[in-house]
Amino acid sequence: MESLSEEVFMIILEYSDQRTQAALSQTCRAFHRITLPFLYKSVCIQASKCDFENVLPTIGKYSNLIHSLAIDTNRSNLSPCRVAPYLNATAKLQALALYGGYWMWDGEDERWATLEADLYGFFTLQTGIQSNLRSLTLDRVEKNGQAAFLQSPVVFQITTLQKLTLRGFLLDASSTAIEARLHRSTDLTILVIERSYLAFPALRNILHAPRALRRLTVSHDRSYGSHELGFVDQHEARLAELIDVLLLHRNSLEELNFAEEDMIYNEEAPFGYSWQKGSQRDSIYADLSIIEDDRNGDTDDEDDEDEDEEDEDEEDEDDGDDFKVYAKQFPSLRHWDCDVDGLRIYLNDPEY
Amino acid sequence: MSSGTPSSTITLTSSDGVDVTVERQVAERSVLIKNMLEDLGDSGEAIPVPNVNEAVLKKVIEWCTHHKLDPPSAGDDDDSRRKTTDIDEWDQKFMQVDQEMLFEIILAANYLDIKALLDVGCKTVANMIKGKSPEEIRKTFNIQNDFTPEEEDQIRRENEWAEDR
Repeated sequence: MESLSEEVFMIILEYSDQRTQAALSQTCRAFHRITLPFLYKSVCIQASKCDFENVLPTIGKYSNLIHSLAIDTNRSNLSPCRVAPYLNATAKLQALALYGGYWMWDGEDERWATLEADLYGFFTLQTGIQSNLRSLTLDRVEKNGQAAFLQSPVVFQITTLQKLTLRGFLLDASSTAIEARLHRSTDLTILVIERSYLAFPALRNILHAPRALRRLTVSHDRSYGSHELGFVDQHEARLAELIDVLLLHRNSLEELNFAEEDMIYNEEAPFGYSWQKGSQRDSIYADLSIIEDDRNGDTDDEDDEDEDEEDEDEEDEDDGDDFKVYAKQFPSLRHWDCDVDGLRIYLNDPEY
Repeated sequence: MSSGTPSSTITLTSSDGVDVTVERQVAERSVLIKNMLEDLGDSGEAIPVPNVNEAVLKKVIEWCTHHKLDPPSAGDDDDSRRKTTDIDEWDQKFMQVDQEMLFEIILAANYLDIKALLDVGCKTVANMIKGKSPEEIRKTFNIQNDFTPEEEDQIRRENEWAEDR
């Protein structure tokens, strides 16, 4: 195999899975050198399956090679934010996904709050440089009935971010206030907030940051509105206010999904509860592919187009309360999964 | 001086000086030869293939003959082509050669710029090493371990996260 050129060896590496790449990198120095950029391009770590403490310095060592990083500390009682000191804000990192972590304070077993602050420090650095970060997922996987507070709105202010996914958060006006100078300044096109309490004032704040949002998905969970450290005031808003906020993205908004999501009793779920819709995941990954799909013209959307047209045909037969009345104000909107009644319930619309 | 339609066969001269006559359409599976034919015109002169010996050249021609009617591979530069290690049955049998020949075919495919054959060869090697330990890979491909025990241990620990994928 040593007779093969480096160019050919790299093709073999592209056809090899990560486990094989790891094995190849351990065979000899030459292969180690060539293999490293492939092996560390996409790193996916499950804390329960490795010595997490030992892996972290490795992430720091090879941070310049990592394009996509996913960390899952679920089942380990460790914070995924432990990775924060090892992240390099100026490196190639394009996609970061952190699954796990919950508590809002430091405990004896883990410095949850301190580590979380370190992570937000990393995000703050991302806003001050020409960063590469395009996709960010923060997923609070624990299911103990409480959502997490967002430590700062900085995740909405990373100008290069194209896709942001938040799960398990309690989002209120104060934690989402975007600096005025950053209004309409970010590249965010896909915003997914699932299994979270999203107060309408928070949504209004958040939607001021992107230049041109294309897809918005919200799964609002009322049960996350209270927390032992505080609770969010019940918001009241009118549908017209929500439409006004969405109209900030009138020319770009292609897809709108809004759902109320409630925990339901499920004896088979780990903590006895599961969520009715959305927010479930089969595996962990840092979502680089979606960015690449978008760059390539987003074929998923094209595939969905016919289906959407059928949906719209069906909606023509609906009564006047359908969202289609409002959809006409959004020339790019091709798909919506919401109705006016549902939105009014979410908003606690006094007119409803 | 060339005139009229190009001749239907051309001659390739291997690195060990053997002339091999081959259908032009077959030879043009190689981008290198196709470009040379376009540049040289239909002179009828043998085209030297200095990096490929007769045995390997004949194997490459066998592959090109079988695949001469294949459509040109779409998006050769697209990374998406490198996602599956599936190899069709004929190609699998074709690649059942000794390791030296396999590597010679891969090198020839690379030199002659026959991307589809290069991919089949690389997939074959990838499938050969899949699931093997570092030591097994060394043994299979006669690779000299030049790590110190300390280095080897460190790399093994660094790679731990990828072991259970």
